[in-house]
Amino acid sequence: MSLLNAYSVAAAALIAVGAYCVASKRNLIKVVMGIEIMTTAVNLNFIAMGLRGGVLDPLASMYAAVSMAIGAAVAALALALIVQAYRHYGTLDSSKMSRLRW
Amino acid sequence: MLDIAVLMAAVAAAIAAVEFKKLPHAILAFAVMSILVAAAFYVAGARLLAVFQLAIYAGAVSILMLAALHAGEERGE
Amino acid sequence: MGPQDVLALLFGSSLTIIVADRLGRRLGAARAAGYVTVAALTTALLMSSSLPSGRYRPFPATGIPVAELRVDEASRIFSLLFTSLGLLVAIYSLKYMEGEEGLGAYYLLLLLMVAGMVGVALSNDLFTLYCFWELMSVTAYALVAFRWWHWEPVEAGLKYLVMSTLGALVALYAISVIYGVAGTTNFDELRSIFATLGDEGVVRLLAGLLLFGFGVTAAIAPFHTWLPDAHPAAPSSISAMLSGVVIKAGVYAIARALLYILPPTSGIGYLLMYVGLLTCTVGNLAALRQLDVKRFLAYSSVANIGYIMVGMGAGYRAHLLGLTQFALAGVAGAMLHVINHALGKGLLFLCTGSAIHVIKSRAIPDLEGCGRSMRITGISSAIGLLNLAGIPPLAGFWSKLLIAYGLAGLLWDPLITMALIVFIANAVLAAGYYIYLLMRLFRRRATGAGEVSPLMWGPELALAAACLILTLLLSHVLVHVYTGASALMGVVG
Repeated sequence: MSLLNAYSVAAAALIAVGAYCVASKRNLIKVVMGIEIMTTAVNLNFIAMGLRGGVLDPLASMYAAVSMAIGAAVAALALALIVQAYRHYGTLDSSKMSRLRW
Repeated sequence: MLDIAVLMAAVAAAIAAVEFKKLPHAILAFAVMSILVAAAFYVAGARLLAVFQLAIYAGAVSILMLAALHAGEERGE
Repeated sequence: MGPQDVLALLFGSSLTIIVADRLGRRLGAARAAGYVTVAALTTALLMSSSLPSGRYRPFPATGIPVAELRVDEASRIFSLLFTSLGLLVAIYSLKYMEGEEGLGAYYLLLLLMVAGMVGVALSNDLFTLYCFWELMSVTAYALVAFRWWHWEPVEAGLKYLVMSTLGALVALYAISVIYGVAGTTNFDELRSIFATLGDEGVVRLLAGLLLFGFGVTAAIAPFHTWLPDAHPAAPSSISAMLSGVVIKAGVYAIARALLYILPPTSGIGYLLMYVGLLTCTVGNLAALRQLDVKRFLAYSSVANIGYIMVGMGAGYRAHLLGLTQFALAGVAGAMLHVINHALGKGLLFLCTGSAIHVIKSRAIPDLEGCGRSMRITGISSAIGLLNLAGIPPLAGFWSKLLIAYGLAGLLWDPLITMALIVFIANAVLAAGYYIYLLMRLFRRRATGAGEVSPLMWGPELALAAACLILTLLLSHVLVHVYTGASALMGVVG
């Protein structure tokens, strides 16, 4: 199996970066950015998995296109909620709005 | 070789997007990362996907983030 | 008629809802959008009850390779559960949500959420499943934050969104690796490819990723923390949907991925079982301390997911060892418990919704005595509580017994003996606090609270009757559940 190529390594690195961003940053926009980095990384991983002997399986780019659209929908909803949360709390810092126990 | 260079640049841009303290700069770095990933898609042979990536991530999502930030700042003043 | 028609119906009618809402408002019929939803879900329920088993390609002419749907006993049971609870919640919402802002959007999101769940149950392809999964999740986030002018739903919705999206991304990463290993995402092809792969490490890694990815939405510990915030923050009708069926869609995805697609591998059975035990212990202990009735019910949902995971784990372990009888008992017990908990918890959230509607408080001390003054709601919630407590003649007892029987088949293994002890202790503890809550609801003084409108107690009564009918027709239900379990595991038994 040739699952390990430059693309899948880069995808794993991007997933690590995104996960670190979600876990460590308090700013909500940064959290959404981390999620989007991870979505991009997974799309990249689909491309990495679809490369068989240097030729791209068209199925892989279809997967990535659909998942891209889904990721954009999630980002739009998340940012709408963030704007609303900002109106309630006056801050984008998630540690200052933990009235619910996180 | 080209693909490895583009991918390394994309990871570097992602790290920059995470680590920049100022949000507009971070969002800009995120857009740069999206463009670089689009270039990687292009190099891999997924031409249509590269266009999608440019339109959706470098375009729409980055602009949405900037808009959310702007809406926040406007209320904060 | 195939599953694609059910989905087409749900998507098509969701397009008409906005039009119906606008038109209804102009003509003075504020409930028009609700009626369209109820009609669509009724039709979907009737259609999905008679789906013939098989594999379906929705667009045969275009030759799109991945969009394949399947109907077997398990997916039929789950999709029936999803549409029927969705229908009852839609009827309940007609009165409960009356006069709220944005009703058109509410019904649109509700219908799309049901469509997403039915799609999860009916898909025969991991990527199709992921698409429907995201449809379900995104509408669920939006519905949790539906009352966005309060702080609580917004914050709970954000928390739900972040955690559940991360889980979905982990699952999608696992799907991409599966695609890389096998070159396809079709369930049946994957099953035959993985059966001959013979690489235990890869299978273990993928099973772990899929378990935790889908498990965040199914609220398995330690990723359950969003649930006790999100479920109380949503409108009560939506809490009934979320606690009743959305987390069950997560259970279905886990079961389908681990039991059907991936071959049995040592270690995963223990992982499932112990994650389940951790989940139900955490849920039960946290539920004991709650004073808010909706938080209490939310934590008890976590606990019940734990029981279901224990049943699946026992089935997985027994399947690995070739003990088909006990494997089927464990998985069938888990499925019966899914049905029980969906009906019971949906019922309880609808009942609390009615009580909160009248009393305007979520604190358990304020709700004391309302079981006496609100007759029908009180009796329905008593049946729901007794069912979930697992009092012997009711179906809730038999599902826990079947899970315990699945565990008992492997009793020579000390790890499983311990699991059985913890499981029974949890079941007894849960029975204790359900009965305690029941006694508090029916304690002494009757408050002045009157009964709610028939549109609200009707669905409650229907769910209570469903709990009783499930008990009376247990032998028939067991046949279906056993067939479903063998379809889920792909074994003949």
